[in-house]
Amino acid sequence: MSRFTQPKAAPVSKRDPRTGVVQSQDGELLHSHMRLMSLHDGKSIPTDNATLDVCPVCKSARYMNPSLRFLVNPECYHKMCESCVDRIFSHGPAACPIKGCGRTLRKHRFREQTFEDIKVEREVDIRKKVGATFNRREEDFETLLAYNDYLNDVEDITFNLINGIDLEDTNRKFEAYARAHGKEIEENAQMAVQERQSFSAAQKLERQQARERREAARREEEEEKREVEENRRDVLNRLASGADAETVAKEGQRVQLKKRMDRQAAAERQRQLQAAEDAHSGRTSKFVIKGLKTKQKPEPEAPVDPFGGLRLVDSYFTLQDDYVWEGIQEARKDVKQTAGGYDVRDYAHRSLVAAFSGLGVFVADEVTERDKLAQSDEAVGTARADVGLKDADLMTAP
Amino acid sequence: MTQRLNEDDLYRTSSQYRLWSFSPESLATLRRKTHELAIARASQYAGTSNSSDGDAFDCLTSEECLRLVRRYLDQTRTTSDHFKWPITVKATAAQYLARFYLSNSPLTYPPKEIYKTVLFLACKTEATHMTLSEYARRISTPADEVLAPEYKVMQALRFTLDVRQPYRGLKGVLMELLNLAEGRVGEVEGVETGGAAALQAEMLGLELPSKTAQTMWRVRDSGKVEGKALVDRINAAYSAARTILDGPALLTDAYFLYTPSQILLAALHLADEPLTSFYLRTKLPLTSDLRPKILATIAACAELLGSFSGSQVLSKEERAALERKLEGCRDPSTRDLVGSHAVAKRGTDGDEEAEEKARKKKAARDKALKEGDDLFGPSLNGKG
Amino acid sequence: MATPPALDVPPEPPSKRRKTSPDPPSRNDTPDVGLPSSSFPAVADLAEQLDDQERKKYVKGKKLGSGQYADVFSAHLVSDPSKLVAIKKIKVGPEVKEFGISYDSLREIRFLQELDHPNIIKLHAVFSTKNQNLNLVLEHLPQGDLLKLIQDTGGITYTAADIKAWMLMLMRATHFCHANGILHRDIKPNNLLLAADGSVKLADFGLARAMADPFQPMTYNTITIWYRPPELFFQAQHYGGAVDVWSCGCVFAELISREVLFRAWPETEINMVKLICEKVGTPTEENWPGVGKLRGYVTPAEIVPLKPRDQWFAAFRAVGEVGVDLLIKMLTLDPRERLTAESVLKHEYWTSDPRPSKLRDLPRKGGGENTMGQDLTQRGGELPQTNGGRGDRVARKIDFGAGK
Repeated sequence: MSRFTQPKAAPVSKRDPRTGVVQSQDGELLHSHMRLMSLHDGKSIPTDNATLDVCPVCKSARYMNPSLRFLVNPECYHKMCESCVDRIFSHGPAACPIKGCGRTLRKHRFREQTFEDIKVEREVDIRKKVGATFNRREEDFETLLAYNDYLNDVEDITFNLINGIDLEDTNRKFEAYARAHGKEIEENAQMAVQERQSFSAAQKLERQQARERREAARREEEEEKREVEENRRDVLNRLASGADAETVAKEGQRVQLKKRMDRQAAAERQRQLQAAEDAHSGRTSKFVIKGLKTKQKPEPEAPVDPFGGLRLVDSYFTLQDDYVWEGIQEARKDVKQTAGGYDVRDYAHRSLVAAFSGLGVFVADEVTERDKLAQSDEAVGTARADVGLKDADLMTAP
Repeated sequence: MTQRLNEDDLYRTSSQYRLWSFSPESLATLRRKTHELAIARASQYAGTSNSSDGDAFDCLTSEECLRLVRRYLDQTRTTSDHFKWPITVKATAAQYLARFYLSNSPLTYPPKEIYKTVLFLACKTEATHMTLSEYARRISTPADEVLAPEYKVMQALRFTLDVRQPYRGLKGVLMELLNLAEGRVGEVEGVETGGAAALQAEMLGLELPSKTAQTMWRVRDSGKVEGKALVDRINAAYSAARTILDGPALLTDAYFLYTPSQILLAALHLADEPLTSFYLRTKLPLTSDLRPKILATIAACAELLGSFSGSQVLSKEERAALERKLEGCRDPSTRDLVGSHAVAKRGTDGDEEAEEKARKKKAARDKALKEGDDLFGPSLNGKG
Repeated sequence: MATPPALDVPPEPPSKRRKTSPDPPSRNDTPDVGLPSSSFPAVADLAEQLDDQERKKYVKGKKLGSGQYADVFSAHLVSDPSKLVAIKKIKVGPEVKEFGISYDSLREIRFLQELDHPNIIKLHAVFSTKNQNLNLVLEHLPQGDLLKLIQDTGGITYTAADIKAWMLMLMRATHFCHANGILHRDIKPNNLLLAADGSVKLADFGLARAMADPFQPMTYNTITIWYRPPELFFQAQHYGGAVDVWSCGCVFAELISREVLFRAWPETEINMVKLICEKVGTPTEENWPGVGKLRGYVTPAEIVPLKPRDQWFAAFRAVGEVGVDLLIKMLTLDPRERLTAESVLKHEYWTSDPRPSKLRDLPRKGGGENTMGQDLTQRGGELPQTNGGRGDRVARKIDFGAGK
């Protein structure tokens, strides 16, 4: 039985039980590619090479047991055959049987090795783990430099973990970050999931559209051929029936041209309708731009406040509908004023605002306070003794 | 994230609050600094001037300066009335003058030369129109003398031109009082009043104003005050308050130390105290902790206004005497404001000169370019 | 002063002799008031010192615009070159002999000093220069103005959501002015400058004034003619915030259709009244009680009825029924019936779909720095300059008659 056809015993979508992140399918492809490569390159390094296929624990070999499958545990990355795993670990966690290891292993953490080189496997696992936690994106950062710094720091942590440098310190950093930013990590993970889904949906759509286009093109070709045929037949008929050759030929051409143009016009109209429909139904236009960031819709925005957060309140009075004071009454009666749009009630309001503007402002105290602040606060020093400089923020608007 | 702005917050945005409000201490300090600077400046010239006595520092004291300024505040009021200008112009002009002399001294700029300019500026900013020539003619002063100090005044005002005044507010209070007398009220949140009818009744039964009250209203016989008499009382109180706002309010430091609202209520307090207290009871909740402070502030302002008397304004003779003294010790560099104004105007500031130079350079360059293109080469003797 | 005086001319008395060179700085002990190194002959007074300090805070850059009344320069803070400002230097014209500092400049300074709002241009400071010129330090608004955006029909497209965003900012600014008792009286697209972040700033308070008391007349000859409400054409001398709301309505219409709504040509008042009658309806006692009492009331003989709603909708459908409803209410003939700025903000247009665009999504490039320079040099009341004539387009006249 060929080595290359392995029964697909593993579930189709692999979920890493720790982080819950769906692993991409790439691992499978990479796996088989590497298999092929290792056969063709002719090197014969026996360690961890698929050709050896001997379980270090039970020493059973592939040639005896064609369906032999090897598993590794990310705890220590020692490989052993499936039956050994079953035998040793089915009754609960046990020590790794490889001489010199002895680490406590659990059955459910065993999985198939994706890479030839066990070191790579380990590294990839570490990177996956780090990546699941440090999953910030470029748009989270103000500047590119900040993002690169972040990436650098993450790489430092990763490097330390892979090579076992400063493990305690690094792990502590890791955990601290995970604890502090748990929420954001979760959010970013969600976003990634969504993106992947919409990406594959978009891919599907694109493939479908491409297919439709091909179909349409083919159809058009056929139709054109048919028309040309018909035209020729028509011309022949006409010639046969004795009409003038030149005019017939010219007519024939004209008809053909008209038909083509009609077809094109019809196709164009159809396209426009389709585009309008697409726009209406919210789908993207003809082609999907690859690599475009999909903006996650933010939380529902606050309703628009037309007053921009500003509320002017009358705290010392309530405006009445009318005032008996003769000044108001006379003004109301004067058509020349009212017809011009002079608002007497608004005048009353202004007067009352003026009546109480500053009633609760205690100048002596507030000025003393202000001066004290000005003296102690050097940075703001000149601004306070200003000529009306209301806003230290000169360039940008609030 | 809503920002609630009430009447007090609005006042705090004004330039009057930000730049022209002082505590008594800071006001005194500022005046002292100004006076000292002026003395130092004037004494520079004491040595070079022709005055005989070595005691060149016998100049006006800061108290005398203050009194001289006050005299001209009064003069400003008179002149504004002479032109029959609205009270807003009068108040603005008086405030401009008072503010001017916070950072300048009569020793450097005698008020006689400044107040006419100030008044003209006020009539412009308060939307009252008169051409300079007409104004100058009517106050018998050459037009350029009126104009010359204008820039200096603007500078001294730190380019803030708005003066918040108490007159419109007083009218607002009048409106409300008359409505209250009529049995109508605009209830203020948090204030227990007992309703419009109760308030009206209370008003009718108010204590009479004291003997020292400024209002002209007196009741013939004591007892219940009927409707019309109440209206008279209110109008009389308004009238008296208005007079106080026209006079003492402008001739004291009220505007620097208090807000327009406090000033007008203080004036009303002086006019008819029981009426004012009643009114304030309908405005300030008893439980508010601002209430005692507000009442105290109004009382203090009332005291300031009430303590002012006409005798504090210099008489004509006193003024003349001071001005003679001033003549001997004033800063001569500011003597000819018209001249220095003209010189300054003829001059250029830095960028105009730079522009001139740049233009000349460009013209020369263009010319050279053109000549270079000439068929026969550039001209030989410089003639284009 | 190089040649010695002639021998037969008596020397001038000391009091008249003017100092041509400054005195050396005083060696006396000057009180410590933090003297800046000034070139003043004597100890400068406090106001002068402050003025000096203020002037020295800025480094003037290139000239952005030059007009008959003012020049505008770009500038930055000495302490931080990234903080930009615009300095408007007010030119001293021939009228200064008649009036001193002009009304416009005084008004602008007075009102801008009191108003602090995100949609109103900020006046940071004022200082004077050696030759006693006024310099206004204004906010730097590098994106030009709304007029340029509207007119660039080829290069710039904008949506109903953009229109809503701009109008919202304009109305907030207007409401704030009115709440502070100030009438702007010159609202038009080229007085709406754009900031770097996309927000709109109301500028040019040269025609503004405080709202009047009853019986206090104001001038009716105000507001640039295309944006002037009918009551001013009828010479009303008592009016209120409604005049600004009419102007805002004109801006609204212009944003939608991208052309001036009441573009009378030639720009006479009669033609403007005619246009208003045509496009809105003829003002009559019926739709505007009391209008006949206004001194300048005159209309073309043919009475045009008020334009029905569906015709408004046909012309301005881009903002939807709700938007058109608001527009109609802002362009109501009777100023008492016209919405106030506050009521405009309470209209459902702002909270209905679509949402006003976010600032960062608004179209930019309404002309750039030089447009700001040009706009700030404009005198109030002028129509925007087209490539060609200038003088004949000045609609505002200085009125010596009734009070302004």
